[in-house]
Amino acid sequence: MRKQTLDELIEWLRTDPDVKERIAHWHTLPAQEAKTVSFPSSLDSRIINALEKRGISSLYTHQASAFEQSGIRKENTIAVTPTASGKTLAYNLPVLQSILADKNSRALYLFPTKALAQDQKSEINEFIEEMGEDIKSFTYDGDTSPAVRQAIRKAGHVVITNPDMLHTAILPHHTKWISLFENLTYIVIDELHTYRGVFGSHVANVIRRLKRIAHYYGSNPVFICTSATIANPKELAETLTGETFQLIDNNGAPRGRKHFVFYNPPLVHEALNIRRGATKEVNELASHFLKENIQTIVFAKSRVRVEIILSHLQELVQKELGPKTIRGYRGGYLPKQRREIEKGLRTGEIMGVVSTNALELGVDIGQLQVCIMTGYPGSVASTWQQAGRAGRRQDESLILFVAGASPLDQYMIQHPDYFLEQSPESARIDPDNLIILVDHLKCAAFELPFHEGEQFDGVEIHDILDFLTEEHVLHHRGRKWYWMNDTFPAHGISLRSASQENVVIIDQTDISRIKVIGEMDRFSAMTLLHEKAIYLHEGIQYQVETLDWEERKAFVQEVQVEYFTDANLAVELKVLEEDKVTETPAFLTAFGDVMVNAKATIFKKIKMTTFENIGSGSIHLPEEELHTNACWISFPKRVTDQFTRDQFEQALIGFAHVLRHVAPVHVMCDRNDLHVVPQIKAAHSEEPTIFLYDRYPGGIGLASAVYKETPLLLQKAKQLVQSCPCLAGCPSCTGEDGNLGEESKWAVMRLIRFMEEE
Amino acid sequence: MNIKQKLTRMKSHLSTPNSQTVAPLQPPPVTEKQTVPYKDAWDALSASIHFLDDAYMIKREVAYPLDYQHGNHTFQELYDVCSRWENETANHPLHSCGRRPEDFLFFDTETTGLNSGTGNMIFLLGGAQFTGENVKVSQYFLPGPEAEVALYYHFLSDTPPTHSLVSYNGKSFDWPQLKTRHTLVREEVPKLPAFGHYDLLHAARRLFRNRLSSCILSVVEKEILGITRKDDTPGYLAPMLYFDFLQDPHPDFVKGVLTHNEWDVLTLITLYIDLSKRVLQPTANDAEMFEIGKWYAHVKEWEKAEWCYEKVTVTTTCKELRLNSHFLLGHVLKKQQRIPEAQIHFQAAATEGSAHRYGAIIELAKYQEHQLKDFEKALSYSLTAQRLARDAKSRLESEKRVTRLQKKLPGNAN
Repeated sequence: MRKQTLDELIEWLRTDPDVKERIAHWHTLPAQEAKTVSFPSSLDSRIINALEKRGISSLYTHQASAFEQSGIRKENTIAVTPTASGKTLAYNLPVLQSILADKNSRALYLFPTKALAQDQKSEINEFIEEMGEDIKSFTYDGDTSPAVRQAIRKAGHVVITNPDMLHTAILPHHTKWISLFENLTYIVIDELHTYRGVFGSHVANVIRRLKRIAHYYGSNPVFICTSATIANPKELAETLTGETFQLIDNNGAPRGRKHFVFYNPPLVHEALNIRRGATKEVNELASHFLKENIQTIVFAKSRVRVEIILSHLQELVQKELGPKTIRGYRGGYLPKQRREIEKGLRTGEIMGVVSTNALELGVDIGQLQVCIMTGYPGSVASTWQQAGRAGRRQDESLILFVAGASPLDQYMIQHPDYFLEQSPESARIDPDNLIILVDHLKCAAFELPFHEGEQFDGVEIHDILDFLTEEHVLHHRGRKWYWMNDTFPAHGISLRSASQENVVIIDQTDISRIKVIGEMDRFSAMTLLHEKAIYLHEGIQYQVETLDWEERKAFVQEVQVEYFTDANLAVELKVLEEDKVTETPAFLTAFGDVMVNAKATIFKKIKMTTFENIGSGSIHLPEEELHTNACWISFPKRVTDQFTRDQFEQALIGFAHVLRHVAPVHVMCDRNDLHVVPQIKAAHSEEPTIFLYDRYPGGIGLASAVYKETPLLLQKAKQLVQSCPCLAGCPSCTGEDGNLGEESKWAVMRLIRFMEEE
Repeated sequence: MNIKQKLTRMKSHLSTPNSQTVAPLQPPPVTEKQTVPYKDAWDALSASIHFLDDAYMIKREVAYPLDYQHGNHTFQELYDVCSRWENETANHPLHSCGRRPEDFLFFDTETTGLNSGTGNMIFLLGGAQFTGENVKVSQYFLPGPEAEVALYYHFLSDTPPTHSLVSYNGKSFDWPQLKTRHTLVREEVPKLPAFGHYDLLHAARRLFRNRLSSCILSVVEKEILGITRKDDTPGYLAPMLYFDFLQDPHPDFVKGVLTHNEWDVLTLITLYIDLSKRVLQPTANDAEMFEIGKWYAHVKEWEKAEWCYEKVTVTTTCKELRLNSHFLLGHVLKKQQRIPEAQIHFQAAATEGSAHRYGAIIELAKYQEHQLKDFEKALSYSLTAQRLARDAKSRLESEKRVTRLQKKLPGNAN
C-alpha cells in the first residue's frame, strides 16, 4: 500500500469528522521569504571566497548586523534567532575575521553541552578548510586526549568548550593557557537562553572568574551571544556577563509554512469535565504519522512520561517499522547513546523520537516533519523551541499541541490567542545567590588571590572573604586574601544540579555484566529511585532493589510490571526571616528566608492503563534540609471567617493548585524548581498560608519574582479558573482529583474575589 | 540578616572543607621591613632571613661530609658513578652525559595541596648539591603567601641554569607546579631555566615494580636502600602543618616538614647512586637483568639489550623468565637485521607454557612466508597461531594471515 504524504495527513486532520471535532484551533504560520544583504565591504575576501564556495552569495540581515557590530565596532551583541537560521555565521564571521587579521588572536566558544560543541567544531573546521587557512579550532572537554591538550592550550585559535570544563579544568589551570588568555579577543556564548535558574547563576559566576583571569593577562574580550526567543535576551546577556549589550533581532532567515494545531482530547465525563488522557491521544496520533514513514518527534514533560509513550509506540508500530527506529531521548541517557540517536535522526534511520525538553537545545538532528507536544511544555519560549524541531527550513510542517488535563493546558486550549500573541517569558538568574557566589569566590581565590578593595565584577565581597578566612579556607595576609587549603575547590562544585552529588544508577540484572545506566540528582532520587520504585530507561522497566544513600548508588534490576510508581514528599516549613511584606485587608504577601524539611514518605503503585492506585509502600530515607527563599501568602481571620472550615480548606488547596501551574509559567522555570505548599496553620503565624519556595539552597530569584508579581499572578489565576468549562472544579483548574468536594471552584473564586477587593 | 549570619546558617549547604580546630591567632603584620617573628628559633635551625624589597624568605643550609653514609652508600660514591658513566658509550636515561657530581640538584618540594592547579602553592623548595668539599642541602622556605617573589628570586639566583634536577615524580608534579607558580611572578623574578631533569620514579618503577608493593619513596628507602627514618613527619601532613604555621609563625610547626624534605633530597643521592650501579654493572638477580635489558631496548640500545637478555637465557632457572627473554631477544636480533639468528629464540619462545607463544609463532610464520617463501610451513604456523589467538585483534590478524597464505598455496584456490 502506498504511504500517505504529510499533505494528505494534514487534510485528514482537517476533514475526519471525529478528529476535526477535537481541534480547538488551527493556526497557520505563513512561509517567510529570506531577507538578505550583500557582503559587507570590510569582510575579508578569503571569507567571501569560502562563503561563495558553499553557494552563499549574501548574508541574512541578522548575520550582517552581528558582523557590523561585533566584528567592526567591537561591541557585545546578543542575536535572537530561531533554530536553523544560520546563527553560527553570526559569530564565526567576526571571529574568523579577527584571526585572519591577527594570527595571535584567540576566541573561546561556550556551549551548554559537549554534543553542541562537537557539532560546532565540525562546522567551523569545514569553513576553515574551505578558506585553506592555517587556523586551528579544537574542542576541549573531558573526552579530549591528554596528548593533544598541550597543543590546544598553546596553539588553538578557537577553543570550543562548555562551562563545566571552563570551571574545573581551564580556569583553575590558567597558567597553562597563557596564550589564550593574553590574546582573548572574543567569547562566544551560544544557546544563551539555557543559562537560567541555578545553572545560569553558576555560569554567571564562572564568567566573572573568566573575566577576572582575562583582565589579569591584559585582555578585554568582546562577547557574542545567541539565544532562542525569550522576553529578556538583552537583560539575560547583561546579567550573565556583567557587560552592556546590543540586541540583534532582525532575523532574516526564511521559514516554511507551519501548521500549529491545538488538539483537545475528547470528553469522557461531561459533568466532571474529564477528558481522555493526553498520553493516549499522543500515542495514537504519533503512530498514525509514524506508520506512514513521516519523521516525528514527540515531546513529553517528564522522564517517566517519555518512557511510557516510548514503550507504547514501540509496541504499536513494531510490525511496520521494527523496534529500533523509535527511540527515547532524555537526561540520564549516556552520551554515547545520545550521539547514536542524534545521528540516526539525521540520517533518517530513526523515524521517531520521544524526548523531554533535552532536545529543545540546538543539537543537530536534521529536519523532522511533525512535532507533537504532550501537554503544554510550560513556557511560551519552550513551546516555540519544540515547535522549531519540525520543518526547520523550507518545508511545510505540522505541530500538534495535545492538551492534558492540567489547568494550564486547558487554559491554553481555551485561549489559543493567549499563547500565540504572548511574548515569551523572561529567563531569570541570580548570580548573587549567596551559596553560589561563595562557591565561586573560593574557586576565584584559588585562581588568583584577592586584593583588599577588589570587587568580584562589581560585587562587594569583603564580608565573604572574611567569613572564608574564619573557616580556614582563605588566609588574609598583607593586603591580600590567599587560598590556603589543601583541596581543589572546583571539584566539589557542580554547575548543573542543585545537590552536589548525583545518584548513580547501576543495572545488576546480569550479575556478570553490571553496568551504570544513568544518574540523577539527589532531590529527584528521593522520589524516583527509592527502594521498590519503578525506574524507566529506554523503555525498559527497572525496579530499584537497593538505594545506598550514603554512597549515592541505586541498584536496579530489569522487571516487567503493569504499573509505575509515584512518591509523596512531606514538607515542613519554618520562616526564618521576613525581608519584605505587603499587606492588604484580605491577605498578606511576604518574602524572606525559610527552612524546608522534606522527607519522602510513601509511594503509590499506579496501573499504567487505567491510572488506578493498586498498592503502596513506605519510603525510608533521611530528611533533607533546605535553607532557601520563599514567598508566602497568608489570610487573616476576617477572611477565613467568611467561609466554613471545609470551604476554606478547599479554597486554599484549590488556589495553591492553580498557583502551582500558573507561577512557574510567569517566572519561567520548571515546575520542580518552584514548590507550592499550602498550610492550614503555618507554624510562624498560625494563619492559613501558601508558600512558594525555590528548590535550590539560598534561592535563585524565583520566589522573589513571585513576590513582585503577585497581583499579576492573581489575575492569571482568576482567568484560568473562570475560563474552565467545568461546573464545580475539575483536575483542570482547582484540583487533581474529585475528592475535593463540589464547591472547590466556587470557593476558590470567592477567595480570589476577596483578595481583589482592596 | 547580615551576610555572615546567613552564611553561618547555610553552612551545611556550603561545601567548606574540614574546618580545623586551631585557635585563630592574629598573625603579626609583615608588610613592612621589620623584625622577623621567632627569629631566634630560626637561627637555631641554621636558617637565615633574606629580604627582597619589603618581603623576606627563609633559607636554611645544612652541610654533610662526602663520606657520610646514607643507607647503603656514601655520598662520595657519586664521583665513582659519574666517571663510570663517562666510560659507558651506550645511551641510557640515567647516563650522566658529562655532568660532574657538582652539576646535579637533588630536588623536592612541599606544597599546600596534593592536587595540581594554580592555587596550590609551593612553600618549600629543597635541594642537595655537591660543592666539591661537601654535600650542601639548601631549603628555600616561604614564610607567607605574600613572599613568593622573594622565594623564587633567591632560589633562581642561587641555582645555576646549567644544573640538572634529580627528582622523584618531579616531571609530573613538582616541576609543572613550579612552572605554574613561577608564571604568576614571572615579571619580577629571573626566568625559569630549561633544567635537565632525571625523574628517578620512572627508573625505580622499571627495576623494582615487580618486587615492591609500591614504589613510593619511603618503601624504596626501606626495601632497597637500607634507610630507616626516625620520627619522620609524613608528607601528607605538610599542608596542615604549614597552615598552622601561618596562624602562628613559629618554626616548630614546620620543623618536621623541613627535616622530611631534607631526608628526601639526601635519599635521591643514594637512589641515583644505587640505580646507576645496578645498570652499569648488572650483578644482581636475573629478573633485574631482564628489566635492565628491557630498559635498554626502550632506548634502542639493541646490543646492550641483547647482552642482558642473552645472559638471562643462559643463567636463569626460572622457566617463565627464560622464555620471555628468548622472545624479547628474538625481537632485539630482528631489529639488528639478524633475522635467522632471531628464529632460534622465537622457536624457543614458541614452546608450550610460554606467555608469548602466540607472538613467537606469528614471527615464525612471518619468517617462513616472507624470507624463506615456504608457504606451507607458514600456513601451518599460522593455523596454530589462530588456535592460540585469545583476543579480537589477534584473532583477526591470524585469520587474515591464514586466508592470505591459503590463496598463495597452489592447488588451494580458496
